[in-house]
Order: sequence, then structure tokens, then C-alpha cells
Amino acid sequence: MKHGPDHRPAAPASEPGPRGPHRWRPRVRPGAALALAPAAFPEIVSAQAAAGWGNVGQQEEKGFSWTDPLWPDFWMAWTPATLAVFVGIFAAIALIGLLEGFRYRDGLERRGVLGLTTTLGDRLFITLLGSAYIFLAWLGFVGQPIWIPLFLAIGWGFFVFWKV
Amino acid sequence: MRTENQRAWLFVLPVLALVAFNALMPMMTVVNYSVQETFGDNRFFWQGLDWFEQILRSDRFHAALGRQFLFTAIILLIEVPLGIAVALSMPRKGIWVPVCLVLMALPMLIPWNVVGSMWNIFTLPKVGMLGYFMNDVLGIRYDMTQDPLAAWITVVVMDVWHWTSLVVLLCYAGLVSIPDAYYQAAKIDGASAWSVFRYIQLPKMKTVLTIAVLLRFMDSFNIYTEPFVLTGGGPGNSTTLLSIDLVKIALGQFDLGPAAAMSLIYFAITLLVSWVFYVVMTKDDQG
Repeated sequence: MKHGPDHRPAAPASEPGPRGPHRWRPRVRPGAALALAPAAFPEIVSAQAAAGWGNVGQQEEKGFSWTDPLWPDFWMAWTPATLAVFVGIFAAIALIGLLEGFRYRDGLERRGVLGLTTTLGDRLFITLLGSAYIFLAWLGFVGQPIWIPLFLAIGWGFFVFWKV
Repeated sequence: MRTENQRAWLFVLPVLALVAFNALMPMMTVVNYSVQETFGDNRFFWQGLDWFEQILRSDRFHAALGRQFLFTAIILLIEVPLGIAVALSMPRKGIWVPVCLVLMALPMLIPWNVVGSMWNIFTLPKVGMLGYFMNDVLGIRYDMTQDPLAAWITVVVMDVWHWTSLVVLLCYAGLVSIPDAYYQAAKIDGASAWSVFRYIQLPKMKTVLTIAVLLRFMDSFNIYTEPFVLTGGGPGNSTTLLSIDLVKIALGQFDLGPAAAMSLIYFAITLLVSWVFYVVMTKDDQG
């Protein structure tokens, strides 16, 4: 007995479907296929269950970041980085103030290379303003990163407190 | 031995608190904004120094900055000599002194936005008195809503009208503080009017003049209301000074990060120029 395509039961010619001859199709819906998938690949499912879902769909545990919002509900939009800048500036002002208030009452006043008579406070102001311009000039003419202007600014500060 | 009375510091405290709340804290917030990006809702995303780079390299900022320096230079060059001249020609004593002082003080008593509206209505072509007079009586084309040059002239004249009085009043205060003995000595020496001005009046006015120039520089460099009401920065961008551009970026486009970076650059420029002015003008007094 020969089995071949010509031995398939043909659709009755007397009942043609509206869209041509009827053909058999698997009647499985995608959802059902998904539901059956674990049964098909039991080892993958057990491995996934053992490993857990990792951080998929979970709140990420964040460590400290200098650039994340510090107090998200507060209006001033602080980040640790900007806070550090201001702490630095105010600490410098406080230090100079204490020095001028208790140690050097004349503020070590002198006439420097620029021909200006400056005290410690003046020198701090010139340092900070000059540093701002060093950074702005670098950002405008060269761009980021700003390590080189950082060292330039520190050098400028030493120069100002030493000579100006 | 401690002889100084340190109680004065206590009296300064309220001012310190006020300044902290209305200047220092907003300033620190601006610094925070300048390195972050926000889309509102008080949520911020770190941006680093990108805004500074972007602003410093933008043609728009350069143009606004150029216009700002031009405007400030023009009004300083007009208002300071004019103010000195008016102060010199004001009477020193007599019934006309209070009249002159009140007349001088009047423009400064008018709120800034009202000054802008007044000059807007005054100079509009067809509608305003000056606009009508220039265009339809004299036949000179003058339209500050269309012509950038006319807009500039109007803004400058408005500022001169509004603020020369400040220079006048400060200089006048300096002038009346000069004792008569100086003038008598000059008369005995046969000094010319120019010599009196150069060697007596100008040195005596120097302190107040320093303050006048500083105040006029800072105010004109930060000017917003009057040109905004008068021309709205137009026609085109021709009178868009720095602060007008800043408000356009901050409130018009809601680009708070770039606007904050721009205002910090703006602040640095104001601070540097003011400091240089101050240093140059007080240099001779130092030991």
C-alpha cells in the first residue's frame, strides 16, 4: 500500500468552503502555548526560579552618588556636588574671617604685584572670582573635562595669596 | 584691653537674614539648577557643565551680551557727563533749590514699568505724541516698532530721562559739601572755571561719582522692565538685552538649566566689572 499525497482524504467536492478548500490547522492559541512552555522546558523554569528575577522590575538599590538629588522633595534642588562647592566656599570665608578676626587683625594688608592694597579677604575674593573666570574661559574655548582649569585655578589661588 | 563695641554686629543680623533669604538662597538654587535638567514637577537630572558650555558658545548669548555692553556704554557715556553738567548748573542756595531737587527726583519716583508704558505710548507712530510729531509734522521716518535704530534711540533716551537724575542728585550732594573756602582760594589764585572744576569740584565729587557710576552700571547692565515694556526686545531681537533674553529662556522656553547657567555667567560679568570699576576709582585713596 502506498502512502503519499494523493492518499490524503480530499475535501468533498460537493461542499466547497467559501474561501476555497478547507485545510486543517492546529487550533492552539498563543496564550495556551505560553502556558504550556514551562512544561516543555522545565529545566529553564526551575533555574529561573532558583535565581530569582534579579533586579527586573525592582527598585534599584542606589549607593551614594555625588550627582543625584540630595533631598528630592526640597525646592532648592541640592546635589551633594553643589553642596560641597558651597560648603567649601563658606568654609573658606569662615576661615579667612576667623584669621582676620583673631589672628591677623590687619588682614596681612599689603600692596601686591597688581598695585592693589589687599587683605586676606580681598585675596580670597580675587581667587574665587578669578577661578570662576578660569573655568568659564576653559569651558568656552576648550570644553569639558575641567581638570586642567582646576589645577590652573588652584595655582591662581596660590599666586594670589602669595603675591597679590 | 578690648575697647571696641561689638554690639553693632547684632544690629546687622536682621539684614543678614534678609539677604540670606532673598539673595543667597535663590542664588544657591540657581547654582543647583545650572548643573541639572528639569522638566518641572521638582524633578532634576544631573547635566554637569553642559549648559555652561552651550551658553558660552551660543551666538545668541554673544549677541545679547554685545547689545548689553553697547547699551551700558552708551548710557554711561551720556548720563555721567550730562549728570555732572546738570548738577554744576543747579543753584546752590535760594528758593529754586527745592524746586530743582523735586523736578530731578520725579522721574526716579515713577515705577519702571510705568516708565516703559509712558514712553511706549509717547513714541508709538500715529498714536504717540512724539511718534506723530516726528512722522506727520516733521516728516522724519521714526518708528520704534519697525526700525532697530529708532528702537535703540528710544530705549537710550528713555533710560537717560529716567536715570540721569540719579547722577545729578549724587553729584549735587558732592558739590554742596564743598566748603566756600575752596572757591574763595581759587578766586584769589585767579583760577579758571575749568581749573575749579578739575581741581576742586571733580575731586570732591569723586566718591559720590564712583557710587553713581557703579549704580548706573549695575542697573543698566541688569535692566529689564523698561525695554521689555517699551519694545519687548524688538523689532526682531534688536533690543533684546541680556536680561530680556534670560527671561525668554527661563520662562518662555522653560529651559531652567541653561537659564541658570546664563545667569551665573551674567552675574560673574557684573561682579567683575563692578569690582574693576571700584578698584580703579578708589585706587588713589589707598596707601
